[in-house]
Amino acid sequence: MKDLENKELLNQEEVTEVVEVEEAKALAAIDLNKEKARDKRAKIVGAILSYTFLTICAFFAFLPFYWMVISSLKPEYEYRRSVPTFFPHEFYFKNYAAVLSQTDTGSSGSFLQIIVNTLVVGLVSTSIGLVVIVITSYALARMEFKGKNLLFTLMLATMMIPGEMFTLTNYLTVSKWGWNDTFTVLILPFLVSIYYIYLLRNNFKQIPNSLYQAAKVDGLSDAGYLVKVMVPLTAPTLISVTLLKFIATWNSYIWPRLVNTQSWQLITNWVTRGFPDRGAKLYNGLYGTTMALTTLRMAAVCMVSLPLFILFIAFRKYIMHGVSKSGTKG
Amino acid sequence: MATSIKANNKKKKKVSLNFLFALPYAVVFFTFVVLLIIISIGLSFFYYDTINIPHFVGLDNYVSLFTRDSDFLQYALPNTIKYALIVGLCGYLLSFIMAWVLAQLTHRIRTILAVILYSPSLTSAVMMTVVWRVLFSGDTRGYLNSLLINWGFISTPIQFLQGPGFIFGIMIFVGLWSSMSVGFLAMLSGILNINKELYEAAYIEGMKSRFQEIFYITIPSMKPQMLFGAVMSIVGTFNSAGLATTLSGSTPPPQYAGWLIVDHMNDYGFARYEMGYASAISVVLLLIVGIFYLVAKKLFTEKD
Repeated sequence: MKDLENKELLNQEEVTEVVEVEEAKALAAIDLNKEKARDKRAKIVGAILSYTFLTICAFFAFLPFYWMVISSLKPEYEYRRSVPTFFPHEFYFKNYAAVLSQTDTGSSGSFLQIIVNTLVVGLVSTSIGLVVIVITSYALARMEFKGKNLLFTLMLATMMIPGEMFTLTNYLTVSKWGWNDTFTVLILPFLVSIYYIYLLRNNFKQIPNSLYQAAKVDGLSDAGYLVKVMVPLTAPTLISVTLLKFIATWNSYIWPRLVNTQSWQLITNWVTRGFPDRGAKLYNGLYGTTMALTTLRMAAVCMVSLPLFILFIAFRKYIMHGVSKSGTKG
Repeated sequence: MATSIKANNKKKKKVSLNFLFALPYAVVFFTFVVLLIIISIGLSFFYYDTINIPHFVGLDNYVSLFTRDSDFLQYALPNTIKYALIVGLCGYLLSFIMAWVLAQLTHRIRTILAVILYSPSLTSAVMMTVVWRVLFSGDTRGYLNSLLINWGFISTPIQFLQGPGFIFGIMIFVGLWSSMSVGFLAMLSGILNINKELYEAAYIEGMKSRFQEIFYITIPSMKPQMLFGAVMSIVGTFNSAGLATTLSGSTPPPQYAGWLIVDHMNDYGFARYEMGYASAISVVLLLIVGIFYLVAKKLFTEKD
């Protein structure tokens, strides 16, 4: 029975086996063998059904990514054939090199500049945001001050408000303050999300009060307790908040496009632009220098999505753990 | 007496320190959230073109929105509700079903499949429209057209990205494709965290089938995650914008196909600079989302 506790490792079949045996005992079933055979058949049918269902879904989920990758590896003339090929005849890695070497320093910004923009905005907003999120969650979880309940209720209420509602008024505000074409305009308005505070506050609340008393006895201040006890204990959630926040910056599109000119925009804005064969490097002028080449754009999309997948796969445990706490009542 | 003053002082100091902890967030929150909502609601009663001083027009914005704005009444409103009901509801049910089926599998396979199923919502919708446009392209180079021609279903390519019916259909397909988001992850871990003894106990009590198991044990034990998933899909679908325009490559898309409330709002706000009117649209959207939220909350709130 103690195996049951180790549920992650335990084969599902064995669980059901145990359940079956217990059930049989409890009911004192007369024809144990017959029932078992029937259950087994039902189980096999169920397994076949669920695997088929999931395989089909996973296939559809994966398909666009396959198209994306193979299109990015074809030369443009192969892509432009009237009958598309479903596997590249020729692997053309020059697409990637061409995208990376788009170095025109004019108004549109080079790849290097855009990636620097994105990293600066992502890292600064993630780190400042994280500090603000941690201390606010701590205040809301542990401390007593005037207006605490009002603040928390207001926060929960605004969790439901469509973010699009803010773009309008945010736009008016930042234009009035002359923040266009700065990093500030990309960092500040969306610095903290209520969702993350809610998540972390619930996490903090689950830490037993006795730890706090013990820390007080040891002479730790509130700030010391927060840094030395609570932050390490909630590390998985903090990691997942960091990742989700960084991914959000990586994916942001509408806001940067609205408030900043091209060389101040971020990576997702960059991939939606056209990528022509600059300086006729790839096809000797076969395609004009202003004609956007789809294969190049696909290569750009591939490169921009890759870090997201790596981050998610590397830290999936923390993200899963982080979101599982999100629903718990506050 | 002296001690009480001292204690009082200490308490006061404590209160101010605590307030200091919450201050940075409170400032950002009030400037960029509460104030903005108040401004939005206030602005919806004004006419404001971003250059001249706004002047008060009372309920005029709302009245024209519901009486004269045929693009809103004929396209934006019904499209948004249709889109949210189909993609939100089906995506939500699909998330639950997938999470449930995944929870029955062994750890390794579950992780691999969960990563694959979640991956569509990792990349942004805008980024993926680049790919969708290639898939559904209206010439024979489009992969879907080419397949259909090869298999003999059609003889000439279909203009998927220009036909109003097709655009909305593709939007729904794309929406469902990326609907396995954090709500799905929350539900999956919700199901995995249910105490297995509950199931055993219920079978002893006379529970017979897996269906009963879902309705009597699984869903009641993970109400918070169900609510979280519902909130995420409501907000996600009502917030969608720009899909139809990026798919068709024109603003507005042909015959306003797939034109959503947020598209309408952005159109008035950033193309026509009628900020008051755009604010009124956003307030209406807020009310619609609020209603759906109350329904979801009623369904999944624990009674205690």
